[in-house]
Amino acid sequence: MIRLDGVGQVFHGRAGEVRALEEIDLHVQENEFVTLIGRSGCGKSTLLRLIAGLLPPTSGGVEVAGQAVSTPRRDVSFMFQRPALLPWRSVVSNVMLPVEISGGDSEGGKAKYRDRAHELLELVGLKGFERRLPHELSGGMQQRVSLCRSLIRRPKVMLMDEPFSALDALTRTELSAELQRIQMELATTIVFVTHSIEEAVVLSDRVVVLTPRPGRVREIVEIDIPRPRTLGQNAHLTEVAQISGHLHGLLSEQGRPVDLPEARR
Amino acid sequence: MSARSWLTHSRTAAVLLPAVGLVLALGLWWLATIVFAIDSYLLPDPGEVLVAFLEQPGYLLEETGVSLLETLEGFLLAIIVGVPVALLIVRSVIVERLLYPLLLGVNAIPKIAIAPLLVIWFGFGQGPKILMVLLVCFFPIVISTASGMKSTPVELVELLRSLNASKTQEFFKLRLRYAMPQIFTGLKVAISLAVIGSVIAEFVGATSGLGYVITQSGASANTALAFAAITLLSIMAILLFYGLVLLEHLLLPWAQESR
Repeated sequence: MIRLDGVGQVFHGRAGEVRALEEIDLHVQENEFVTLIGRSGCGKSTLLRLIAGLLPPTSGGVEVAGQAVSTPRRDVSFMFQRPALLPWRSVVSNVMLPVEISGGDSEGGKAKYRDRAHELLELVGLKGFERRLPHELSGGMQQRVSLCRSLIRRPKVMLMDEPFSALDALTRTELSAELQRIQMELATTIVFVTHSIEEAVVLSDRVVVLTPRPGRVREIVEIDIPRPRTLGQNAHLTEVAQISGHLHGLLSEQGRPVDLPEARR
Repeated sequence: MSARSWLTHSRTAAVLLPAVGLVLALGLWWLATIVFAIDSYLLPDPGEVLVAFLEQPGYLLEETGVSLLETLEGFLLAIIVGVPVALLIVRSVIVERLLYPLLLGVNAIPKIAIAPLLVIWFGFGQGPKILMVLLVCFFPIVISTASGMKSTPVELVELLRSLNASKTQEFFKLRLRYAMPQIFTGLKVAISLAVIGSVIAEFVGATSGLGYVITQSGASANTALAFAAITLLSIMAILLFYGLVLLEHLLLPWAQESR
């Protein structure tokens, strides 16, 4: 679904050249959930923006669904760290924004999307809040609206840039459980950026660990834990802990993988 | 509820307190004219001001209408000219560098200094008054619009880009809407200045308007009439200001909470 071949990104700042990404090769399969993880400044967000077509790569090629990416595509949606809702629009019309922007739909088509918007809002537990303004909602609810907005056009690919990192721990776990459920239901390809190892392990099929400055792929870790995965009452705590430990090692300063002590099992 | 919390929170108190303040001020004024036996050509008491108004209410209201019209026309013209200029400034660095120092320079001129020139150039009609209002309103409108247009949050711009929005969509669906609260701030500053502008222009050369009434009554030592005209002016300024506040509440219900 997504192919990155030898992708590199160089920024020209005041302090000179900054090599953000170097020699990134990554293939993401259809319906796969891939998480990019790495320390601050490793270029995870940059990589996501390259796939989104918000930024042209300095070198290498980016393909989505077999086509080279040059501008943002209709079937790719982007979800930000902050909800990024338009403050004057009601919840439902924020969800409808992508439909409105791309236009070209007949009245009937629009009505279908409107129904879908209501379905999505119900799916994330926001039934009854359709007419509210964003400032009347909590941070978690706002991010749910943002999730609905990125789902409205039935995207083939969803790019998510630390979407839950501004939320409190409880809301965060709740939303990542919801995202898992939604992905299983809707079958979309997701590339997800996070700082949280736990989130990466619970959500992903594969975790791509990036090194900082310049960002390179350090290791790609497969996660073979059956779904649905939860943190609370789940049977896979050992595996989660094991993989988390491994990822933690990869991310640590020395970068040496740490083997999990037997005693933890 | 304690008396103190009633005074700070209740709606009735919110209306009542300013009224009490006004009555107190009027009372003090009245008392001063009696206690110090001030001649009414120096300082008329509130009663005399009211009588001066009641003697010729039709005439005074008509003159108020003249000043109001000049103020509104100049104000609207300033919006029509100022907003596009602000948009150009935001759009292009070249225009910004070209115009900004000029705007600052024009704004730095005390407007009353230009008033006599406007009379020389445009005579005693409504034109120079409207122009004066335009001049005083222009700057705050340009500044607030320009800074509002620059205040769009990065993540919202990026959102629209990710949706492949055109520049026009980005402008109308995002930037302009987002700038509205700041534009309104500028408008509120401008409308207060607009009233001052029209009066200044009327002082210098006019045959009608409240400014003209004030200069005329000053010349004939009819201080009470001048006070009546001043009172009408301030009522007009207050109503215009609150009209804008009301409009803002109606048009931008989202802006009160989310900023």
